[in-house]
Amino acid sequence: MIFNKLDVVSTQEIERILDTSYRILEEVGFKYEWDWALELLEKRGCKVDMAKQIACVPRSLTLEAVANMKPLALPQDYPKIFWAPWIGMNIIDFETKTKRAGTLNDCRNVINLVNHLENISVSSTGVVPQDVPIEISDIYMAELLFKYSEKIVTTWTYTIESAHDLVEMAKAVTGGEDELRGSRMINYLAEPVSPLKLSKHSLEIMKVYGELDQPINMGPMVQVGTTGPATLAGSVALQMAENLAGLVYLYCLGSNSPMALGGPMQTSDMRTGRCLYAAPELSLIHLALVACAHHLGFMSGCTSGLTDSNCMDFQSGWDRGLSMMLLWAAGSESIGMRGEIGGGEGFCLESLVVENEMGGMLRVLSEGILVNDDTLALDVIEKVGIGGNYLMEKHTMRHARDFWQPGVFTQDTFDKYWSEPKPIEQRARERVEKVLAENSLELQVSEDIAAEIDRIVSRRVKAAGLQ
Amino acid sequence: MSLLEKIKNSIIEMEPELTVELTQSALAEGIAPMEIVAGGLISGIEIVGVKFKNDEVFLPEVMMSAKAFKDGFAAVSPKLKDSGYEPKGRVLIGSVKGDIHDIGKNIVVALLQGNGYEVHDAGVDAPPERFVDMVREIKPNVVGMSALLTTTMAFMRDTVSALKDAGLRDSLKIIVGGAPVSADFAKEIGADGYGEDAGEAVDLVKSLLAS
Repeated sequence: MIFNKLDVVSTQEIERILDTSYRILEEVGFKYEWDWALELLEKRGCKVDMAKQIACVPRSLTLEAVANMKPLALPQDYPKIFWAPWIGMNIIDFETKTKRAGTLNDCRNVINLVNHLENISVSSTGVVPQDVPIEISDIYMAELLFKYSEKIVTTWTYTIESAHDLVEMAKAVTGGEDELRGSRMINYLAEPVSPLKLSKHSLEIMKVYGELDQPINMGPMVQVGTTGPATLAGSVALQMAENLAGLVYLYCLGSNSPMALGGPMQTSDMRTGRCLYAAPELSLIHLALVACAHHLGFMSGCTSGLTDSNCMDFQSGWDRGLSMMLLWAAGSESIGMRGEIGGGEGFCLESLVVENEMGGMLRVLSEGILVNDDTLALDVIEKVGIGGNYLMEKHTMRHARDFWQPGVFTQDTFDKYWSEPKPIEQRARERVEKVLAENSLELQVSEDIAAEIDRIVSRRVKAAGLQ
Repeated sequence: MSLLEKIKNSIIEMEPELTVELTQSALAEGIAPMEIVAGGLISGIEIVGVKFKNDEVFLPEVMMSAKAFKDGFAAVSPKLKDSGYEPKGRVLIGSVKGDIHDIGKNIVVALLQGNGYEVHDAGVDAPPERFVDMVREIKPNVVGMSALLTTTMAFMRDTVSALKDAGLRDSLKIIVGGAPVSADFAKEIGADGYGEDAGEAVDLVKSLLAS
């Protein structure tokens, strides 16, 4: 099988890219915009310019951090690949062909839908709710996810205050600090500002979560040609340098946070500077990032399966399918971020349903072909012999339901389809409506824990002086 | 080829050093500063602007042409003081409080400068008070705000309020941009316009000042 077999860079090339990353950190340095962090790094041997807030990280420290930090691992009962929803600002409504600001109700719908989509293994709110004060919308997102998601969650943390609130909520859900340490309640996406900076608030949040051993995904977003060199290798080296800058910081903190490396790199439309969500070069750089993360012994946390198309057309299918398939074949542990449409313009529930279906296909591919006496089926081949058929054989009965079945994809005949034609977005819409109509969002925590989460939210709203 | 033609071409060809050199030669030859600006620098950048709209030149190229314009203009500007030259408009722009992302803002700055606007940069993480202070000092026609983060968008609203409270809002136009920002959000916070990308931001400034 081809899973985990696709290489776009050789081992020698990976080492050359990483060597460049080590040199960037050592020779150019990295801006940690927090004096506390700089003092910590200085004690560990970094050459620090406090005035410029730049630390030059010796290669030996980077390698020590790589050797000692532990990789994030997928839970035993999880599929090989994470499928996590995207988080955007808008909901795309295919019926009205409009986009509008996300609301709390949209967040609830996304969580409810994800609870019932078998191939989406991680939950998010899909959108940032904007019918609440936007500066604390992260608290509302966490509240809903902690209370209602049946799956591992991923969300955003804007500020150090929010980090403390999320920790308190997570402690309430898990039962306390010790239980939280062993859990993966908060999956923080640490986002350096490219090129080569981590803001004070990101460093503070990383400290809070890092000290509680919560999983941290490094998510730099070097944009090839604008915030990174206009060449793929150079931008990948820069992206890995930013990944490693976060990893070194957490190591110096003494954190046991499991980590994923990679991040959602982007290419640019060089005509306008706009970030692209789908392009062949984008797949290449993500494949290189997966290779670099794996080479260092870490799980990769890259994006793929995104589209710049504004509808569910051939382009969106190709954009998504091509990059999903390539990253899957390279053994990426993450096929994020689902539900995005229009180059990040919005989140689309219907698209999430279609992508769930694509995930099911890839899951079948991941299982490969099982070769043993039963599957080679020589006994039944001998029994049926020449001519005849296998339909009524016990062997067929045992395996008849092994096959992938479509949900919203069609396998109808031409005439049947055109007697009542329904484009895929309509079929997906019907699935969304059915799931939401048949399933109410149910608390996944006790009433007491839910009340404690509500108390934390209310306290924050009050503290922020917001309604 | 006349010197002015060469200046124009140096901008189209994205050669800032040559633009400065040719501008200095033109001044030394006694060509009127206004003529250098209009017949050389602006004619060049206008052609680049049209090519940019037609996708004939790419963003890095148009930014380099804009730099050529800006450097050439800086070389001639000391001589312009008494000539009655006025920039197309004065723009103050910054990334709002809490936001240290500046690539989008910097692209807009370069393109505005390259289009003949006087641009003042409030930098990154710029609190509302900084905008207010700079507006008082610079008296811009347009204030532009950029945000990449969801959480910092709120400071766009605060900045608009701060400008209102300071009694400065009616004397200028306010535009906003950045990945999470939308035309609806611009309207909601009382801004005058939203630019989806840098090219649109320049068009927006042009149209707002024309109106």
